[in-house]
Amino acid sequence: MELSVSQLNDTIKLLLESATFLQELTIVGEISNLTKHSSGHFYFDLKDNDAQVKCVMFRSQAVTVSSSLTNGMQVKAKCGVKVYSPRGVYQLQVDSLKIDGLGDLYLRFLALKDKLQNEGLFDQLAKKQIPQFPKTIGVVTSPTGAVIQDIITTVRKRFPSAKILVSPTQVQGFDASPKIIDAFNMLQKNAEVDVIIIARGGGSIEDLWPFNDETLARTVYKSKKPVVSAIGHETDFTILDFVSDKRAATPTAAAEICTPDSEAILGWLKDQSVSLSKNISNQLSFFEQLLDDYQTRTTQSVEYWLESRNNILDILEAKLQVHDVNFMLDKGYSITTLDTVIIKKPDQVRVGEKVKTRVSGGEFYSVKTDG
Amino acid sequence: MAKKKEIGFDDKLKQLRLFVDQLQQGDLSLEESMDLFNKSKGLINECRTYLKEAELIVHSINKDGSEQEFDI
Repeated sequence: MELSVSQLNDTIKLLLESATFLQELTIVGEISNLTKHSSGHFYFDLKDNDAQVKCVMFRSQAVTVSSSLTNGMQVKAKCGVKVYSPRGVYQLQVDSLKIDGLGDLYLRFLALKDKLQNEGLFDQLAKKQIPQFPKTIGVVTSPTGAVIQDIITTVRKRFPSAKILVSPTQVQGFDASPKIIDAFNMLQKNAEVDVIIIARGGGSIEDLWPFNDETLARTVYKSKKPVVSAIGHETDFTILDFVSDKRAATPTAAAEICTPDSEAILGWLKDQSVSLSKNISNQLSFFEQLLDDYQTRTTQSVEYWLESRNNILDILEAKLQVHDVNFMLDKGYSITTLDTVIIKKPDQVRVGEKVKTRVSGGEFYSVKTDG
Repeated sequence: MAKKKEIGFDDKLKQLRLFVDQLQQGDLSLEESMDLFNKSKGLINECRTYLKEAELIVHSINKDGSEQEFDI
């Protein structure tokens, strides 16, 4: 039989949708990959350990479960099988849902969380400080995609003095945990790295499951370097988020937590520079004032000193005047000398000796006689 | 500290904070103040240069611990 693709899909659609028992099913499974579309329709997978199937719940039915529905919930779905022929896929159109409790994965998550919490792996006291000015930021994530780009963009904008060291790894799938641990350990061993970001974009509970791994949690707990986690969306929590030193809502937020804002530091430096200059110029003008003051006082005291000395000189001069020879000569006294010796007594000169007499106007000579 | 080693950015900021605090307390001699002032100015310039002239390096680490440029 030869059929076109359209004919094949239409035939299968007819077969499945006309089978009454396929239209009145109750399927037991766990909600996964839930998207609450803005149109009001819900899209999700129902799954068990071995298989999954796509489901749609239209707005009119979706309102009955609305916000309470989350990934990981175990549900009983009343549904019918529909075929979407343009893409050759079948899906379940869900009419009503009964929540049957939390799903398997979610229960395992809770059990591990309790266990590690009781062991003290989430203790706030054990949290390491994120360095304020990291030299090297290690990043464990997928080398492709928006996450690493967001981190690079943020670090470049805020603190380009840092270096980013990417440890690329698979971040999806149940076998990803050992690979994430290996990638993490590479950074752990690197002496340059100051802080490690482990990041992954949003996804279903299955997508994020590698980050709920017990070995990864213990590895991060034992890490000598501080760890910032940014896994999934803000509403998603993984075990890694609890054990890491800081949980960031997004990869961008993780990069912000690990970096200071260069602009802010530059502003601070500018302020410091201004206040330093002001401070030193204040101090300088204080000293200048002090010097001025000293100078004034020194000058004053020198003047005073001079003045007082001048007075003393006047007095001394007056006193000296009394002893001034010329002053005495002017008054009519005279000085007589014999060979430069001043004659004070008559017998110092013998008869016939010639003496010199100095008077006010000059000098003259005389010879001693008998009388 | 026997020898002056090249100190990191955060240490420079810490030192700068300390110098500024000391200067602001104002119980230093003029020589000490001028000395701290000059040192502080030097630190500010070094920090500024560090921030302004930096260009982000992005490497990826290989399994053997070696590094290569990360293809952005």
